[in-house]
Amino acid sequence: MAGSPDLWSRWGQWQKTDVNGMKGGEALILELNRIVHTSGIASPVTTRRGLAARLRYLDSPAGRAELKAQGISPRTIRSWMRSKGQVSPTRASRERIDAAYWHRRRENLIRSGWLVKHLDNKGRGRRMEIYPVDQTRVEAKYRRDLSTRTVTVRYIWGDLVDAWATRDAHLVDEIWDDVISDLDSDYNAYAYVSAVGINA
Amino acid sequence: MLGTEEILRLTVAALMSRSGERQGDLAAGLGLSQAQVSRKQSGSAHWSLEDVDLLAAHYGLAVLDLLAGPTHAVGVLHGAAQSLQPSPLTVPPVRPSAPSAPDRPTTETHPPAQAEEPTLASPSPAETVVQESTGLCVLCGQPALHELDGFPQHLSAEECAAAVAAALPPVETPDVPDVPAELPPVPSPAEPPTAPAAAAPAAPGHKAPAYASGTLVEQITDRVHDVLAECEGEVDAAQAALIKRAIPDVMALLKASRVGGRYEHSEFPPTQDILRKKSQKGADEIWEGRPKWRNAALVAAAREGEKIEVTALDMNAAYLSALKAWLPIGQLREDTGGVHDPKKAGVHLITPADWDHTDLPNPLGNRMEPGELWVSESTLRLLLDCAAQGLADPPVIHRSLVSGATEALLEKMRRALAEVRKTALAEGDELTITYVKAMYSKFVSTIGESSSNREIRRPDWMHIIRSKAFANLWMKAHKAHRAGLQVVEISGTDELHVAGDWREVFQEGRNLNEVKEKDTYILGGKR
Repeated sequence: MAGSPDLWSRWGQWQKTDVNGMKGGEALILELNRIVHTSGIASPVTTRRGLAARLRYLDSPAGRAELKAQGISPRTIRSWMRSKGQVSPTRASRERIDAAYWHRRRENLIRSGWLVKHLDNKGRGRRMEIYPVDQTRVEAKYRRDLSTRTVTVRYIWGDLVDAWATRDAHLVDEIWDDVISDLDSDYNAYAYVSAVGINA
Repeated sequence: MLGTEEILRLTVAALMSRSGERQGDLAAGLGLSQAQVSRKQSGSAHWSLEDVDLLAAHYGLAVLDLLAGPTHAVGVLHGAAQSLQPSPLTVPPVRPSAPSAPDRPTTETHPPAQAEEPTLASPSPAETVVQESTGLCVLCGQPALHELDGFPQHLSAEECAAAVAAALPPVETPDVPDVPAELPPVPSPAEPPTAPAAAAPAAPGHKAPAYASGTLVEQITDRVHDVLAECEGEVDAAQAALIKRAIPDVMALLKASRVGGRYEHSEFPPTQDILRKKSQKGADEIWEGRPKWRNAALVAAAREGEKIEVTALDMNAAYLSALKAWLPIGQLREDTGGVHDPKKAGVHLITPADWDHTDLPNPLGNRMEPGELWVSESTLRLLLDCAAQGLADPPVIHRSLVSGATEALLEKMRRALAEVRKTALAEGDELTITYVKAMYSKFVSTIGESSSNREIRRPDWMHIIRSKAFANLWMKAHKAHRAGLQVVEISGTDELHVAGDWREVFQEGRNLNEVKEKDTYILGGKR
């Protein structure tokens, strides 16, 4: 029976039995990263279109500063910006441009509040699917009866994005505890998970 | 020693095989659905006494003969054995599919359910007093005259049975005299005397369950009406608006179709590495088996100067049909057993067997590289089917990423879309046809990792549905080949070029089970 006191007391030792999983907070961070990285410019930086779009995005004092922080000389930056579509940077430079783009975009999504708004969904929240730890390699007698759980998550998104933005893993873990306390008595079993999916 | 019901099941199975009927045919004759017959035959439901009467009527047997075991029943059916229920009025069972209820008067050996039988010997449709029915009976689905607690229904089981039987087509038995004189008094005293006959309109048979859910069909047609009203009847504007709404609409339709469903599917399972796209335009590692094949021997013959007349056939709504595929319900899990489990679906790493037919395309498509490859469930099942039919060796399965599966996950939605499409085709409603097409095709193309559909992320489903469409096309090519046509070309999701009289093999039309002629040309001649 899921949610038995046995599960509570022994859950701390879950890693002893070759279970695959990660902290719920870590899974949440991975999912937020996925959401951010599926937004934005879709064309890869290796195409002319993707490159031009990224350079255009970075054509601002903050963008130039970011390129500079990636180790590109001001002269090169100037020449790229002057002829956006025509230049063809080396592979290493393209990677730096891409890194600078995602860095700026992440900052901007946080600063502008888009990410929080997107996740809060006008107060309706987002559905979250919680996939339990992978027990395929666990001996049958030690297995726990865990199923995939779906919860609609509201109210936490502002705090979560703040914690994610400041890379505060402890705070994300605490927020994860809030999320799983909505599950019933066996919420402890979802402290560690194999993955989290958000419909965003 | 078998129980009576077990004997009846054996008897029904024997009679079905003798008369060449399938469960669907029997179900239509009994006014049940095929699934109900299947459940009754497999033992997960019971044959009721009323069913026994209907069965007897369906096969033109006496009830006692039906219960006396398969050998006897089949013997009576063929006239090789004497009926256990001799009656001066019994005629030899010449029409197995006609209800023979009036042929036999009731005897005291019959259970009470038989008592209403003579009421089906209603004098003739002309004499029936037509009385306003209050609606369809909630118990039997036939028009009822009474309403209890707001539900139209018959007052007794006998009335239900009478209405059901009366709704069956009347038997024309000129050599058998009508037996109204033997009518026993109607059991229910409260019942008006004309009720059973009046409750019987000329409806053909018991109302079979509808093909598609009415609420889902309405959800689609209502949307078209609303958008058309918003656009004040301008079809082009309405079409653009409908296509724009297609993705959210089809996702809403999927949600509505899963209400009350048995399985709760995962919508955002972690994406396995092999299912992850390498870049925006790049593909992942699944080989979908898209067909692209020409019959090299025929092309060579045409080059030699032989004139071959070829018809290009087009499959209708290939992706809509392909929604009926074995789809994994939950998160995919590794399985290295190397044996295909028919209750599971997912993606598989296989080494396919060699394909040495020159007149039939390879079910794997035009794969050039040898060695192992990842295929989806639909392709694997097709390869296993080919192996079962002796066309090739079975593939070797190295790894599988699978989850418990069902073929019915999208079936309710598919049926609603198919029903709307069929109606729209019959009415020539191009707007609705376009809308339905946008819904199913965009569903298939965006359920993977697409930023235009964030309601679901199942790249495994996308591959399985696509390769199902390819597998369906291959099976059509195989059907044509078996029927003696020459397969000239097979390509894309819906193109099949054949030489020969294809109308013998396929039905022509625009419905899902029909094919459309695209054009005809001379192979080797000018196109």
